[in-house]
Amino acid sequence: MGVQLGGVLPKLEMGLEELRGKKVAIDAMNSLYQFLAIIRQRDGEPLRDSKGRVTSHLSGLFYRTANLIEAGISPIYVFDGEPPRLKRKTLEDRRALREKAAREWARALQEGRIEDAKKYAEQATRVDEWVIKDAKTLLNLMGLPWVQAPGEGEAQAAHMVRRGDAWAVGSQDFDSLLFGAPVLVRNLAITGRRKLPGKDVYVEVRPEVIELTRVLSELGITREQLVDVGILVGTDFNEGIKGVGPKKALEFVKKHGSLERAFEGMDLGVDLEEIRKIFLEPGVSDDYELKWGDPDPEGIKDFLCGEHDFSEQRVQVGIQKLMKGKGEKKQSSLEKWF
Amino acid sequence: MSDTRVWKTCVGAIVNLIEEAAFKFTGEGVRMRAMDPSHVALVDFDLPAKAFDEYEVSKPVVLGIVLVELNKIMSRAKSEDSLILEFEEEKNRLSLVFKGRSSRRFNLPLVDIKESELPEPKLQFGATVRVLGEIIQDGLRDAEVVGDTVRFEANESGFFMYSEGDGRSVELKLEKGSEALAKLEVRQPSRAMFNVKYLSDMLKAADMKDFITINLGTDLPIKLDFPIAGGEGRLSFILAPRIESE
Repeated sequence: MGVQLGGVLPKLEMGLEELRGKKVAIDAMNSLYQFLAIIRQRDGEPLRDSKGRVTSHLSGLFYRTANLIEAGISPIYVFDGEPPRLKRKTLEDRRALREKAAREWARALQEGRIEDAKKYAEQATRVDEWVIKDAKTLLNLMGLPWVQAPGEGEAQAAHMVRRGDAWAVGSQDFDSLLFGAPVLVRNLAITGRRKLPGKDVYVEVRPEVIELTRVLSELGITREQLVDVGILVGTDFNEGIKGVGPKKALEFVKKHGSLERAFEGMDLGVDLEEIRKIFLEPGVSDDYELKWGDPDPEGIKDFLCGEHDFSEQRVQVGIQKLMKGKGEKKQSSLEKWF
Repeated sequence: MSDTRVWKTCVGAIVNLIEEAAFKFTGEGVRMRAMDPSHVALVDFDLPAKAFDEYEVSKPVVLGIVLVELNKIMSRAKSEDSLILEFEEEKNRLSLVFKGRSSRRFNLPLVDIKESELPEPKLQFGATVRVLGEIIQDGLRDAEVVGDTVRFEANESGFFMYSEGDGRSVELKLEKGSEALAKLEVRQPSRAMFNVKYLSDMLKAADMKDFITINLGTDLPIKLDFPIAGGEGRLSFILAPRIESE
């Protein structure tokens, strides 16, 4: 999922408390995917209500967002719109992979291979239309703003940070940097003690902050070149070159300057200009409104406890966190009065 | 200067907000104006020549001083000491001589600080009050017990401080006509909320027996004026308020 650049980017680890007072434009699809993939029982079964409907995404969205708000962070969820033409093939490939994983999951369950079952269940994760609808309903009840992107959610989120409406993009993927986000923050929703997948090992996960200017100056490349590095490694819009990881790709781009010169006369099998355009001139919109309203405690309880059988006690704790964050006072700066 | 306490208390209060500062020595006296790194608080220090027993500045100079270092030196002053400040231009250092039963000389290297003219914030205050330092200090110490913010309020009936946190709260009332309230001028009832920590740091400059002048406006920065050197000089702080989140 997304462009794999992890190994080569300079990053800063921070405590959640250092992000107090900041607004973060969160890639909603990325978060919902994480919630659905991670919030599962041992055998890979997601959380369900008494009618059998999956609720992992609601659980994640509610409790983890409440934690962010309690920590003084204001999340703005940004939803994907129409995918670019080039992404359709990727999406189809993914669908095939998910379907295969779903069959493997069923088989593993039958054969009593619990660990495998969980692994396949995670791979079979899909974010369907009803998941997105549920998420928007819940965000409205929580009094939080969300934005519908015309195209890629991460591109829109990056655009909002560039306009100064948010401090950073929140996502696990690195794509927003290619979209020009000045700051990316990872691990926001999964901060705390987490189990490593497939192992009985726990690690302490902390927010990770990656700044675009630092990335470019430390790697010694331009944003255009960073996009080229991404294209070599593979993005949501092309497969990349087999056996080329971020380190090799970076060396390559720095040595040759551009992909055209590196592959002169060769057919890469992709339309370079079209992919670059997706990252450098993405379809984004200025037509959005960010309004923080009051949470609706009764509405939240009706939806989560009444309709989806959540524990009333736990939901109440979450609501208190939302209320507490709401009453947070912000320190202003003297600049306002000069 | 025969009274070292002026320097000692002022530096002690400023050091918590600002790491280094440019002090401007001119024929009229010493001035320093600076903001803390987060631009939440502004300090304005003004000590006229007449506050010194002897004052000699042949040409105006700007001295960049690391306040943490100066504060350490000032903490060595004894109350009966008198203080001599000397600028040694060729060595680019400030020497501080404490004269008591012995004479002790500290040398402090100066640093380069760009002297920036800070604009004066445009503030239309709604109320001006003069309150005994000790009362404000009590109010802040009370507030620290329950939370990290404190609300200042002035209206026709008096001056109030209020703080709350996790269900606990505390209120200080100083009613009109009270002895500790030397002035209550309310053009408009005013209230605003501030960080307690900043205010406590600033209050270190106040003599508990002195009256502090407070200018207040609804959701505006607060301005605190402390008389120093027996009212000859002035130390002012402006602190930005905390505002309820959107």
